[in-house]
Amino acid sequence: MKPFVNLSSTPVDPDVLRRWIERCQAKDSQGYRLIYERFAPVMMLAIRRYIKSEHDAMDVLQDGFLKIFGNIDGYTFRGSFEGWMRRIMVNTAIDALRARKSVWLVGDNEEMLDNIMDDASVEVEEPEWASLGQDDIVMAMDKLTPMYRAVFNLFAIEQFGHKEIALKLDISEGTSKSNYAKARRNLKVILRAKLAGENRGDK
Amino acid sequence: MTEGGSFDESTGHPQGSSDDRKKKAGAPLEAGMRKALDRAPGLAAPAWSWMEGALQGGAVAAGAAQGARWILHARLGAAAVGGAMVMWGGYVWLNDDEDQRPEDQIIVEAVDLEENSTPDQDALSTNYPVSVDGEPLPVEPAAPKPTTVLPDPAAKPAAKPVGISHAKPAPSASSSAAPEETENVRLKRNWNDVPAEERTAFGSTLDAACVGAEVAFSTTHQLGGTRVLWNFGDGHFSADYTPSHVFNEAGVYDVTLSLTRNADGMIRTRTIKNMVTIHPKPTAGFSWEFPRLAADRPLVIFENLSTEAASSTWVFDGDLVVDEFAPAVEMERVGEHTVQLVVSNAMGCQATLSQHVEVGNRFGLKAPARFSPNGDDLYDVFLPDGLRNSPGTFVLRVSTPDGTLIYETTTIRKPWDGKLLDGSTAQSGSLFQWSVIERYDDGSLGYYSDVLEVE
Repeated sequence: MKPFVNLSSTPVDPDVLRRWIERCQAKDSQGYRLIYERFAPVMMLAIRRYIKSEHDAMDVLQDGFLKIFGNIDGYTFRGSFEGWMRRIMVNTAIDALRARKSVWLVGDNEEMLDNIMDDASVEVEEPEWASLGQDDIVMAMDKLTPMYRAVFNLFAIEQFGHKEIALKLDISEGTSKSNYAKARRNLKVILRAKLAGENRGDK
Repeated sequence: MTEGGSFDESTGHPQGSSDDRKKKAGAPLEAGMRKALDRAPGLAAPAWSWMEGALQGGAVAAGAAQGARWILHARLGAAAVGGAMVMWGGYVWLNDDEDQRPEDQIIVEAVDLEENSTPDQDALSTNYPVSVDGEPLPVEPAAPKPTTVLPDPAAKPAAKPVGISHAKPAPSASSSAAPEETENVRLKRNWNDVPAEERTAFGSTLDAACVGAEVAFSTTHQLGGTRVLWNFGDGHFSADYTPSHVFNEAGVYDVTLSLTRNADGMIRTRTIKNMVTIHPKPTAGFSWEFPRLAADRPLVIFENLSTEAASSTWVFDGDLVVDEFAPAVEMERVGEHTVQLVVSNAMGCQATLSQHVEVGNRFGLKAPARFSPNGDDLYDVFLPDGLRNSPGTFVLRVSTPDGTLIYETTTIRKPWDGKLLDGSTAQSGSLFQWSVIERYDDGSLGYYSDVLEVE
């Protein structure tokens, strides 16, 4: 019997969440705790898409929550709270990456887009990407260089434009585009293999 | 939360990149990954205590309120070191050298009724060792400075705000004339000659406890021929030699012992400032919510309303124990669930609250198992019968088996007519999940859920 649901996968009731946030805004440490315990796992997942080392990811998690709690007065209940938090987390993760420039620069080059295959030109059928597990995604991300990883996540998951990404990462727009295309191609290979392996295993 | 990883305007996302976004929105890899991540449970994160430590480090630029709260916790924590319920508080000798006493701990109010301001008497009764930490000092009457262990060496006799009526006049009467004389008198004094009531110190079994705890007091020496009066500082007194006292309110109490010698009526009084700290008892309190989901089992989210609780332990149906602060539990069984919350403060004092969470199926609300929204006026709409004379308010939700909410109503005048989100009518044979959260007049909640089939 495992009666405990990991709440992270289910929405928090909006009324309940509002009360939690209001408690935080009143500097009630129990409010901080409720928010932290509920959202830390998904924030950790968001961070780990950018940062390979679990230890570094924990640092970012802590820094990010400190920023969230320090600025929670500024949250005005317009728009998704989780989105607001994740934005702070992602920015914190990017800052952490940029702080370690030596690692960061790997993969940062100006190569132009070179005949990257478009989805349409690929003969094989698209697999059921949505059936990917979070561990598969994190595993695949870990195989990319930090720059590829950051560009891919910012564009595909956070849905920033290349112009913004270029500004954020201090690279050119062209680099962002080319890195994205390469990251995407690599990811597809890794994840396709992952999904194919699972399907074979099922049968 | 279905924002799908995107940021809307209110989050400050800059505009102007919608082309990029649109272009990729339909790309199967990206869309699939976003979907996968959206329902991902997340990765293991460190426990709250780890985060709390960082917050306490003052890293958050936050107000004083939370700081004060955490400092309070730290204080409670320090008070509970060891957790021992039997420990001796500080002893203070009734008969110390008042010139050396630590100002913040002891107030001397000894009054010599009959021999007020006689110089030899003063000398005789003012040079005995003091201990404030529970460890009696070695008795060495010949030692000229037995009081050097005191924590307040800076205290100057002239600065003493609290006078001692039988000791003070000595220096004023003959301060320039006879300092050596005083010294000589001290040296002549034999500790064993000092009566017990002058040598005794007093202490308590606890120096920190919770409201309602019994604290026992006693003296280090047997007192014969002396009447005692204890003032516990909360308006209660005792004339017992070794009294026990229950403090009924939180606070920090000064305890005073007065000794009256039967033979000559001499009264000696000593107060130990802040001798006993009584902490508030924790109170256990919780409420719960059924989140806005139409699920086959209710997810119950508990809110912890306890006060003064350093730790919380939840017991569900008597056998499942959880140490989370505010857990979320799926109640699998239909029926009444007993939820018990036990909270403890840093002193180890506990409080308990037990409440019942009711989980029902369609029988609890007299809800039909199926209906036929085909316009023939027979069972065309769905509404559990039990709601028709419900004493409280309710919300009925209907969702598809995959959890998409398709109808919500709070009034019996608007039952579900079988219409789906796109306006079409539910197909015959399709299944839906419904849930009802009822809120009764006393604030309690009822949860009912079951499957509904379209005929």
